[in-house]
Order: sequence, then C-alpha cells, then structure tokens
Amino acid sequence: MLEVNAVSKQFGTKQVLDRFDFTVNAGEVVAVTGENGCGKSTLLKLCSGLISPDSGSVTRRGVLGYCPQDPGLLPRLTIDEHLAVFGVGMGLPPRKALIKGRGILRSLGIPDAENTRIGALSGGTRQKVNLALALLNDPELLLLDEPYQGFDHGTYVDFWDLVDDWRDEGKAVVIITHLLTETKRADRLEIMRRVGGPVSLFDDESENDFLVATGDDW
Amino acid sequence: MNPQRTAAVFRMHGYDVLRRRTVLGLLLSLPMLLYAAIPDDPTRPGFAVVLVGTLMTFSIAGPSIFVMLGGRDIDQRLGLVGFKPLELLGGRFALLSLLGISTSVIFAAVVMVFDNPQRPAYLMVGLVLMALLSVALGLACGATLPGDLEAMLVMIGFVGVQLVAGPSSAIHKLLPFRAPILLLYMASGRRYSLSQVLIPGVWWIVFFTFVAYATIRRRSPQANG
Repeated sequence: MLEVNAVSKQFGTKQVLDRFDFTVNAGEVVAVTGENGCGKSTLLKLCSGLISPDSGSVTRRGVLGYCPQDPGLLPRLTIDEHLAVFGVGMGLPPRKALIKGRGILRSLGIPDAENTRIGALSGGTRQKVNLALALLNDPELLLLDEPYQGFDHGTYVDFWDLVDDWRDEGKAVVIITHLLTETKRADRLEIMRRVGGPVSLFDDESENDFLVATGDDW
Repeated sequence: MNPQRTAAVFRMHGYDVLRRRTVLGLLLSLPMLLYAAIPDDPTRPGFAVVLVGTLMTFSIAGPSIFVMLGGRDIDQRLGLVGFKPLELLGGRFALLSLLGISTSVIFAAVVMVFDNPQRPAYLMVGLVLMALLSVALGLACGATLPGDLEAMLVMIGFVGVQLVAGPSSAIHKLLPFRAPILLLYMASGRRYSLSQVLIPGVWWIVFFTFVAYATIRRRSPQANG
C-alpha cells in the first residue's frame, strides 16, 4: 500500500532523511517512533504527498487518510461545517458526510457537539475532529501523526481498539508516536534515527537501551 | 474547476469572515471616520473622495489577507481530499469580491450623499475597480508573505505611497491603485482616457491573482505528485 524507496529530504543545510526505505502492506499497522527532529513528521508529509522528496520515490495505493500533528482547522467554523467541506472534497453529498462524520465522532466519544466551533473545543476534542476528518472518506491507507495528543487515557486505549478494527478491515496504518505503552498492539515498531533508515525493534544489531528496557516480545 | 468545491470554499470562508465581526466593523468604520474628519478644501476638488476610496482598500484587502493566511494550513488538507488550487482561489476570490463590491456600494452611497460628485458612474466604477484590486492584492500578500503583520504592512505601504504621490508623479504610474484613483478623480470632473486608465487596473488584478494562484499551486499536494 505504501512504498518509500531511498528517499532523501533536506531543509536548508539540515539533512532530515537520507536514502530512507519504508514499506507498509495492507492490513498492517506500523508504529514509528524516534527522537524529536529525526524526521517522523517529514516522513508522513512525504508519504501523503504534501511535500516532495529531493531524491527517491514514494508509491501509494488506495484512498489516503492523513491526520497531521497540527489540525490546521478554522477556529470559527463548527465541526459540522468542517465535515461538510471535507465531504464535498471527497465527493460525498453533504448530508452523507455529516451522518458519516457524526458517526465517527461518536465512536471517538464526541456526541452532540456538531455545532460547536473548533476554537471552543479542548485540545483533545479538536484532535478527535482532526482524526474524524482523516477517516471520513473510508481510507485504505491511514497516515496518523501523533493522532491522540490530548486524549485522556481511556480514549487513548479506545483509539488502539479502533486501530485493531482498521487492521481487520485491511487498512494499512502508520502511526507516529511517542507513547509506547500500547504500541505492542502494532504489528511493527520502527525507530527512526536522526539521519538514516528505521531500525527494527528486534534487530539483533540494535544497541538501543530503550528497546531492551521495554521487554515486550512480539 | 468544480463548482461544488468552489462553492464549498466560498461558504467556508464566508462563515469565517462574517464571524470576525469586530475586525470587520473596525475595517469598515475606519475609512468612514477618516472621511468624516477630512476638512472641506476647495483648492483640492475631489480629494476627499479619492482619499476615502483609497482607504476603502483597508476594508477589503484586510479580510482578503486574513482569509488567505487563515486558509494556509487547511489548504494542504483540502488539497489532499480533492480540492484544486483554482477552486481554493476561485471560492475566495468570489466571496471577497462580493464583500468588496458590497462595501463599494456603501461607500459610493455615502460619497454621493455628502460630496455629490459630478459623474457618479465613474465613482461607482472606480470604487468597484478599487475593491477588486484590493481583493487581488490582499490574496497575493496573504499567499506570499509569512504572516499577517508583514502582509498588512506591505498593503499599507502600497496604499500609503500611492496616496502621497500625486497622479502626475512617475511612481504613481508604477503602482497598482493608479487606475481606480484616476477614475475617482474623473468622478470629480477631471479628464483622462478611460481605456488608458482601465487597462492597467485590470492588468494589476490579473497579476496579483496569478501570484496568489501560483503560490497556492506551489504548496498544493498535487504539485508534489
């Protein structure tokens, strides 16, 4: 569903990604972690097509759902108004977009807030709207950049239940994360270094102390 | 260009702009207050009309800048779900032009009541051209400059220099608001060639709109495959 081949990206003098390879298959959930500034969000922007690589290639298949770290929504517009606009872009009739969007929001624990303006929502609720917009077109490839920022613990756990559902539906899911408590529920955890490709968690050559400390056995 | 998507952008920004009531009120009332404060000066006929007409730029270019800057983040996401750069720009241009022309009508009515210009048709055409130019300038500034302060200052710079420079000066001929300003002078009885006035005005609208379009297009996901 997603294939990143030898992708490099530089911003000014800073090399963020250097001949980076990354593949995600249908029905696979991949969690990506790494220190700040190692290029996780850049990777997702490249995968979504928001930015282009300096070299290498990104190949995507299927409908894309992208949930950025910063929602970038309009604070004076309501949740419903956002659902309607995104729905039109996705080719959904406005009524269908509202019904579908409200259903997704209910599953994320936001009932009856459709007429609330984005600016009046808490950070966690805003993030749920962000996630709902990414799910509105029933994507086959989901790119989620720290999608649960501001979620309470219960919602965070519920979120990973949804991830299980998405896997069962055959979606390919990439989740950028710093919270590792539930990442054992991903099929694969990729750890990015500042420059270079991901190192598999159970790579025998990995000498990352954190990996030993987690003690999780996939 | 899909009309439904263009209309969706029109509605989205329509809600956003109309909910900024305080800013809109200030942007509309400031030129009116300045107009009310200008003393009668028989040595400069028509100047008050030119002044208020040019200051109307603030009322229209200001919201255009907010719309463009406010939409920058969401543009990328809308691009991912299918919106084309031309639809994003078209919806905004249509909304802001409607607001701008409505504002022109208000200003024209006030000027007609208090200044009774000799040729009101030129006043109306001048104010509408001023409105469309303001929309295009605001969209270009909002698209290309890094923040609202920079964009507002550039817009004020254009308007300020154009106001200070007299119509016969070389710099006046190089700046975008010359065309509507000359039309406003024509409303007070001065004579200029209409085609020589209108053509540069339309050219500037096309130029600023193209700058805004090219910038949106460069940032759009479609541009990145």
